[in-house]
Amino acid sequence: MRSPPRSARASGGDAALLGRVAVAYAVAFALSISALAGLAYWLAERHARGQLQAEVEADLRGLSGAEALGLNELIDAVLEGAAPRGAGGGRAPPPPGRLWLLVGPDGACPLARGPRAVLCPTGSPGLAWPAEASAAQGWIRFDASFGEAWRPALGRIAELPRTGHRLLVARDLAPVAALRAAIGPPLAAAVAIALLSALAAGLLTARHLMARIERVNAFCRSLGHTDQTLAPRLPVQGGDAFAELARNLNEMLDRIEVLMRVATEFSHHAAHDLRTPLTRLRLRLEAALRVQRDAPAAEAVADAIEEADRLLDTFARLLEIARIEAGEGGDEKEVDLAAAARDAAALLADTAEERGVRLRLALAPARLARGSPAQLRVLAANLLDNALKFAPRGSTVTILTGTGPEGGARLEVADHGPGIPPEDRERALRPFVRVGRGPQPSGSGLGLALVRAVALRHGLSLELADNAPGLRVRLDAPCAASPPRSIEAEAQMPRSPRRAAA
Amino acid sequence: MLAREARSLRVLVIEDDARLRDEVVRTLVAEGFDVAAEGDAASGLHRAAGTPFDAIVLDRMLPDGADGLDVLRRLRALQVATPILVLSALAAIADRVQALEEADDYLPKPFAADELVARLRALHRRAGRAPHPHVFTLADLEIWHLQKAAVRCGRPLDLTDTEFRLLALLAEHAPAPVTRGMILEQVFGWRSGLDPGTVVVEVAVSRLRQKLDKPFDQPLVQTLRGRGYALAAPQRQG
Repeated sequence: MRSPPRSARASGGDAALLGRVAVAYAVAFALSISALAGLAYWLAERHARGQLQAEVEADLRGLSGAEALGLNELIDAVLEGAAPRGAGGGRAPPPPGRLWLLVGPDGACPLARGPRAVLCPTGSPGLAWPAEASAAQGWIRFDASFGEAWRPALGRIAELPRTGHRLLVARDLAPVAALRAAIGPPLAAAVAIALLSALAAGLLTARHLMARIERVNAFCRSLGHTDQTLAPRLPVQGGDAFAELARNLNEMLDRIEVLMRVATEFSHHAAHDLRTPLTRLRLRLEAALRVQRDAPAAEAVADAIEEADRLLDTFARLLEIARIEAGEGGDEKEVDLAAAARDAAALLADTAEERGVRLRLALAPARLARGSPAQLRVLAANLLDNALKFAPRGSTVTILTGTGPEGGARLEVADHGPGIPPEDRERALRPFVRVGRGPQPSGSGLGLALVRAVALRHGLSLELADNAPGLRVRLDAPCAASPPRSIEAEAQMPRSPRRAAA
Repeated sequence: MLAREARSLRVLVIEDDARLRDEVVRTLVAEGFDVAAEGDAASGLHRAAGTPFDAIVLDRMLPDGADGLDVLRRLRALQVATPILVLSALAAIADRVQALEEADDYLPKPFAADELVARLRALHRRAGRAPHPHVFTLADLEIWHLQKAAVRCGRPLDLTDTEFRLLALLAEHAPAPVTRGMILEQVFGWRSGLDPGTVVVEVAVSRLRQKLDKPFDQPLVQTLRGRGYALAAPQRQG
């Protein structure tokens, strides 16, 4: 089943919805990925820093123990730790990234010997005692020179109670920075990639969902006017919400179908059960009329037959309106409103002449892709008959067919009768309603209701307007390519600006 | 013409409603037809296939959900070519169109006895391919079918197409009446079944009377209330 072409407005709305869904999905996904990456980054850095801190604390504990043995032992330990004595007795260069600094109570370095780079607080750049640093501060960060470059360092100060010396043990933060440099950009790249793929996945998912929704929509649109039947059902796949939706829609269609069948059967039975006895009645009355010699009695029988005929005509029209509204068509083919108008005009030409009304025909082709010629002929005849009933002697009734401003077929019938006031126009289309148009000529009161039913059945909008003076009835097909719509299309009175997008 | 009228028309009525069937039979017998009747599809089919009839009146809705059109198709499959008039309580446009595609004629219920009789006669005439007589005469009226001309008292009448078709239809059935529905269908080609709710028939009859009757002292177009219009010379009362 092919879905009818969708209007630009509907697909524009879909694109916006699609974009919103994709962006929301991507943002949510990106937020969670970023949080995860940030956590990993923070944990890794904390771990590396914790390791440095543990080393610093181990050094401090060892040096404090050495102090208990005396200052020289402390100095030896410092020297040993800073630059361990090699196998040959010479000192190896100090291990990189390690910084020990010892100052006496006077602030001077007690060590005259030893690698200055390690021990002396003054005299060489980078080895100054950090300004105003004290043991109370706990962990401190400062810039220190390791070799040629100044780099951030993390350290702690211990007060040595026995000698009054202060000891700073620090570590180069370069490994932490290196770790940061190592994992930061890849994490950022991962987040960026995740963001992009989330956006893509969001779009794809949204499109997939929209496509499934669109399938349901196309199915619903196709019902009722592609093949005039409610027989098709949505395929039910899997057990997700769409399967549930399809199942529910199918069940709804089942119920509607049952209701429609009941209604159709009812009308068929009503038709049969009323028409057959009425036929008997009519035949008996006719038989009575043929043998009746008594004139008043014959008159009465003839009256009865005429009444029965009127009753039946009303009944037949009601049934026909109900059938047309239920979408029962029968003969469907390409039709031209001009042909229907021409037939109606031919039928009523003599009537117009008798009434002294001129008929003006302006018939250009006005084709509908599908329609019932018989129903459209009845529609045109009813409109024209209605116009003739109210047109004053000497006036002109105009029948016009062609294309409207939007390229759809159009049929228009205009008279110069009393017209219908705007507030009564909607009501005038209902069965049995006759609205004030001066003296009421006879009629079933079903003409315009039948017109309305046929118009809706063919997807024509029906507009009653002022012909200044008089009534102008205009029927418009939505546009040239549009398929006939079913009963969901509403007559517009007058035509409202929001049209046909639904 | 005389040869055909010498024996009465044999008609088979297949209708499930017993009382309506009786009524139809009575009506047709009163018209001088030779009538047989059946109440269901199977016996109707059997009778129609076994006995020659001039016309069959077939109800569309038969017992047990049988469709009269199926009976019609089976008869045609059996090479039974008897003209068939389908009766139907389904008067919707679509039902009528469908029935007319297959049946020879179609009459929605309720129908007028006159119309049933007139249609059966017309069906039989068509089947016998008896042409209209070239000239129809009634009192001082002459209708020349080939020339599409009508003459009254030796004076040609200036009739429009519609008026001539109406006059010819009335003449074809005279002195039996012609119903509104028949005029709509056969004069105006209005076959959709739904009366457009107009006064076209009344207007057409009135216009014909203007030209056919008004200039002369004897009206020929009669209004038979409850039945329709007929072309007949008025009966001399006493």
